[in-house]
Amino acid sequence: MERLRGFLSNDNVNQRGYLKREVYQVLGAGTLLMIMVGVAIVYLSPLVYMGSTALKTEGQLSDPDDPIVPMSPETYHYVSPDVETFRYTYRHSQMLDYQGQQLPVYDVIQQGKILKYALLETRDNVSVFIDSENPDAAPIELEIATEDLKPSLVNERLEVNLYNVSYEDVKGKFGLVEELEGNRTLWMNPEAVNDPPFELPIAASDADIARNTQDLIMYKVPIDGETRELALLETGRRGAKFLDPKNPDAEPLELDVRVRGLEKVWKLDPHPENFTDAMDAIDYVKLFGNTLFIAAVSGLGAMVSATLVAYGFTRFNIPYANILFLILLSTIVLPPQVTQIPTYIVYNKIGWIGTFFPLIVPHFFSNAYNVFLLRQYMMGIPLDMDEAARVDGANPFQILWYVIIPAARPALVAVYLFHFLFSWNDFQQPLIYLGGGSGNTVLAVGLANFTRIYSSQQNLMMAAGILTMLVPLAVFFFAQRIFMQGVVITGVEK
Amino acid sequence: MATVQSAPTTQLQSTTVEKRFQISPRRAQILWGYFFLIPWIIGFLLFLLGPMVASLYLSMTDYNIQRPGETKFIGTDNYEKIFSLQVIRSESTDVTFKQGYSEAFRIGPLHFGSRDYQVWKAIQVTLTFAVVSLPINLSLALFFALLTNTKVPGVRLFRTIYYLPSVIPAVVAATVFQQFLRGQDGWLNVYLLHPLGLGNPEWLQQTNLAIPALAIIGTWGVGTTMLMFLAGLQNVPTELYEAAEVDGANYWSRFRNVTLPMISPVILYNLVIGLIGTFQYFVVAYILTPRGAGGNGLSMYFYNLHLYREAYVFFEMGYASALAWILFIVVLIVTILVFRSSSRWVFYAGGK
Repeated sequence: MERLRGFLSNDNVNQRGYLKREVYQVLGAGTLLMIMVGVAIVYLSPLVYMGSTALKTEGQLSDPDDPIVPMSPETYHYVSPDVETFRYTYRHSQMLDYQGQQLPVYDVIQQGKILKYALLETRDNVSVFIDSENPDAAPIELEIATEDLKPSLVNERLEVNLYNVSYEDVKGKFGLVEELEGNRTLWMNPEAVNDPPFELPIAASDADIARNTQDLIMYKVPIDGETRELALLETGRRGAKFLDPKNPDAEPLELDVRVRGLEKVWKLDPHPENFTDAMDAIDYVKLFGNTLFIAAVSGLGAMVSATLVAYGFTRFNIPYANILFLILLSTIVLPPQVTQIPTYIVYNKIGWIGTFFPLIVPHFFSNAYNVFLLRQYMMGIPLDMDEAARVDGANPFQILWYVIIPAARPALVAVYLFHFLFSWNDFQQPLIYLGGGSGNTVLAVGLANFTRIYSSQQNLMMAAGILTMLVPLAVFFFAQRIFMQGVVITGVEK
Repeated sequence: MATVQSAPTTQLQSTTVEKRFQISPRRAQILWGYFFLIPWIIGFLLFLLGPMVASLYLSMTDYNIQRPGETKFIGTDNYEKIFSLQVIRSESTDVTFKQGYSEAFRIGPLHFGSRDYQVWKAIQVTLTFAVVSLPINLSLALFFALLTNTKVPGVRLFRTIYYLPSVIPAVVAATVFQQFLRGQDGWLNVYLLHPLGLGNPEWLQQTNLAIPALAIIGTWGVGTTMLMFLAGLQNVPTELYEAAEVDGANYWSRFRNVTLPMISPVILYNLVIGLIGTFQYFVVAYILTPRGAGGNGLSMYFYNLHLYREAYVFFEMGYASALAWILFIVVLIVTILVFRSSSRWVFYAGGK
């Protein structure tokens, strides 16, 4: 009994311990997951920002209420019962109606006074005028050449109703000046107010009268415990007037609410045209082509030369191979700035500055990182296969081509992709060799230029940024495993 | 007889001739081996050793690519210019230095003048950044590696997400963070600092926030370092953890006594690579301070920006070569120092 109890209690303790561990493990995994998700959100947020900004207009960006997903406030196109009117000042030369005759009025200067005289007739060099302010008085004869006369201008303040007119090729929004007899009308153009009115053989009723329209912002308005989507017509001192778009003919609702506290109704409103605008702005197609060309060709050079050198290091018993390899590796410590200046001077002498040569040619002479990666990989390829090939009479080139390269393919792909990405992302070398200005350059430099010049247009900047990193991201996603393993082998992302 | 005898003689002669020109398989091996090294040997001579020698010579001249005819050999004057320093003790803010000197920095009443006051600022900025940014990056990378070295479902996805920013071009990263760190509407302030009641600091405008801002940007690219740590962690034998667990070690002491020593070679490696990278820091500072001008109060004026401007903006290539050699020597010394110190803190499992 004693023993049994001891056994039981012991078992109990064990079981409790086991449960405790289980709980801890689940709790621990949960906490870990939460931390990881948190870090992931923080790490992805700049990318989310890019995407969000690239799809917005400048108006959406400046609205602090605009959510992360590009949206715009929903609006209601409101046609008010008010007729749209147009007020303008009509400046034209004055006419005088004199016994059924229309006489032009001129500014005549007599004894320092400007007199408004209508010209009745001209005889030799004598002009006969009628005083427009006193037309019943006798005509006045003056010796003035008509060329010296200035027409008297008047400003008339007018207000007209606007109509949407469509008659033959006369189309547009015009103001009705006068209805004439016999279904004829006199119109004016609001965009050219000083032009004389023109006549159309239509009645006013043949044209559509224009009404005031307004895009009203929609709000979520709580009324009697339910939320209704209403369009804000006007804000008064107390409360505001709303329209219900579902019931447009109803009277406006006067509600005692604070508009500032209301939530707008948002609708999705992305602007992908930012991308095409950004493409035009940075000359994307050309820069993309340049970048692709440089990255692809120099990547080829890097891969081929590193293959040859790594092959030389791993498959032939050359004396001092270790010392040579050490020299090769130690070049990693040498800052490129040291060698860049003399090579720049040489490139300048042979006319390579401003061309792609300095960005491509040096890569055909291998570099330490790539040779290191390939050497590590080739050392893992068993020697038996080359021995067999050698016995069959294959020369070293054939062994390289038929044995080593097929076996080392993953490493070769890694070297190529690394170099491609390095070249695509490189900024300092293209900046130095192709110049910092726009022109025949690569995407990274083009983007930097654009960023400097259009710093106020965040949306286009972010669109250009996305366009610049599209290829690196695609390469990464398609070759993720090669990539993340390759990083560990070379140790360094270049 | 003579004719009979002559035949073997010629045969013998011909074999020696052949032997002289026929290379032994061993020598053929060596020749083939060197043959395949040719790209590297040419590259080494043409793009490394040659330019290095040329650069050393240039650093002792006043070569300017725009007026190469006026080049003079000036010995160590470029190096003297970099390190030139005149100290004046004065309470007033207005101090007159020797001709050609202007104030580089001041500590209390001590005014330090130099013939190139910018290089001192650049050194200060670069060192400050190294001290601030490297420990943050290394510990963050190690933290992420520890996180993603667990058996939580979906851990590979998280690894990918943390590594992702490392493949994004630095120019793009700089462009994004230029907006991301803005005072009023930058997301860091809007979504993190402002809700925490820390206000809306102008990261990229305030001189005292420039280095922290760049350090924040730097943390976005710890993915590579994380992968290195991850590989190191995965190479730690599980027996060691099991043994420690049997001894009753908790998580912290397992980390302290097993993980850290086992991955110390990786820490050393990442530290060296990080240091070299920091001394050559360029792109982000160039983008954030238009055309590499250095920003407000030269708060982002890195050594490499100074070098770039001297060489490719003012074309003072002689002086820039001297700057490049100083950079090289500093990188070399720091690397050697780190390696020297490593015997005290780096544990090699092989017992080396």
